[in-house]
Amino acid sequence: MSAVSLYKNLLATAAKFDNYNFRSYFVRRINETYAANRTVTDAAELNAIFTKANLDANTLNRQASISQMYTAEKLVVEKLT
Amino acid sequence: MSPTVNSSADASSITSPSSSSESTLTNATRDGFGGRPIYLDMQATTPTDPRVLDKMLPFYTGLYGNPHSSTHSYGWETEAEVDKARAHIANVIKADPKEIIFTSGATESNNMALKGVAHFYGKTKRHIITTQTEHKCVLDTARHLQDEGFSVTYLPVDAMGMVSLAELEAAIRKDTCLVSVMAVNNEIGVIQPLAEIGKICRKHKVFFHTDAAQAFGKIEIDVNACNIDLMSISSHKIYGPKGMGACFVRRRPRVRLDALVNGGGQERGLRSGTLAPPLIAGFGEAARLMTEEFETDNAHIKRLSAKLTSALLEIPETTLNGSSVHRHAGCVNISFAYVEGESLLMALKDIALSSGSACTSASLEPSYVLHALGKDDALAHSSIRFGIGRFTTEEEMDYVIKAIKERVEFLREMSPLWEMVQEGIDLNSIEWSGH
Repeated sequence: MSAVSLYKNLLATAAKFDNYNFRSYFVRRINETYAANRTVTDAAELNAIFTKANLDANTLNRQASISQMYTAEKLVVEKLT
Repeated sequence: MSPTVNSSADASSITSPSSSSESTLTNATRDGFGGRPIYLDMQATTPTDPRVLDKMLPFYTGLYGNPHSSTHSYGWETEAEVDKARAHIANVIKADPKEIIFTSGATESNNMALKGVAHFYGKTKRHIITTQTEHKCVLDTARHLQDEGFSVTYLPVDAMGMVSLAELEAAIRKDTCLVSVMAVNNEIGVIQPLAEIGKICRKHKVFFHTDAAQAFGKIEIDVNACNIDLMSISSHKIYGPKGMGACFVRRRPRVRLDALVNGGGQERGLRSGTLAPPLIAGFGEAARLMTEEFETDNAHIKRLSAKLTSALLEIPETTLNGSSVHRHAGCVNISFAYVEGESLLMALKDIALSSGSACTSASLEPSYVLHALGKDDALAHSSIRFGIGRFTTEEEMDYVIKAIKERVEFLREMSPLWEMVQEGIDLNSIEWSGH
């Protein structure tokens, strides 16, 4: 998987969190991490980043599902849809 | 087949969006928006990080072995995870994993440290030094030790909330066994000079305990550089599970303690009882994340904290409580003169805030911490604590700033005191008549 598609996948998963604060946090961190690692060219380092991102994607997937199972009322800053 | 996927929890505040009418939090303030308040009480507790929950779940589904069962793999697998967690926690404070003793939380750790040292060395050493701004559980433990015949010195703090090193050194006696000074204050966020205090304690061969419930993972602490002998740590202040904590107990030079809990001799005999692998694994993961996210968390929290602080201090007659330099950015305590803190909190149903420690906020007593800083009753009553964390967003901060500004103005407009101040009347010159 290319870096861009992994990044997009992660963002899509983070967006599935029902909890506003968790969703906002993971979206922010994924963006920050992607921006910080964009210039990395070293193969070993890239490999480590990919391994970690894939592990994170699995955790995020599971937890996004749980967040959808146990939902809370929307916050006062959240628009009702 | 997955039979439980759509079951929503029935705890009163956790409901599915469609069935939320029963909740007490449904005072929607704006049309088209939700009604659950913004959470800004991070000193009371923090939300459990989803990554922490992910680490914990396997221990509730399959990994149920007793980590002390040494005869089979069920025990070995949980024991291995407990060891990993212990290493993550030790790493945050540069300690040896063997120096981490698991407890039920920082309150137990504080009890264990104070009572443990006092009881072990109590035959010859009968004096303890602490400060007036400690958490209730340290102060209450010290009171109990006084009832047992120990003498306790409660050091004052200056107007910034800082302990005086000269006064601390002068208070040390021949029979002093322990100095207990908290790292980060839970109400005002002030950071005490741990390294300097540690140096003084080591010089006088007195043990140094610090309550780091609010500090662990949030500020850099090296137990060796700071000569810390005992440290209380809490899991739920770092996005970990509640009911879990630890006490760092130095091995070299060795600190000896009388155990509070006796039994099977777990945790080096200092805290018997079967360990809770789910909570420990969650605590360990939370600690690991504090290290991994240290820089990004701190940058985020500092940015939001600076924004909130400068915006609120623009309101006339507001003051920041505690030192503006030696502080943890995630805790902002501000006094709004001529506004009663509890009224402001009532007017702020859409923001979860506290006027001080959760333990004393039920009593409506003005904060003893603010009193120790020399604030009068009125100002202590008009203070609000804002707790900012990893999961706080910029959008929430903007909402809070706007809401506070509007409602402080609203409450002051109703206040006869504020009217008099605006007319230039010195409130101290008024003789109030009693009825």
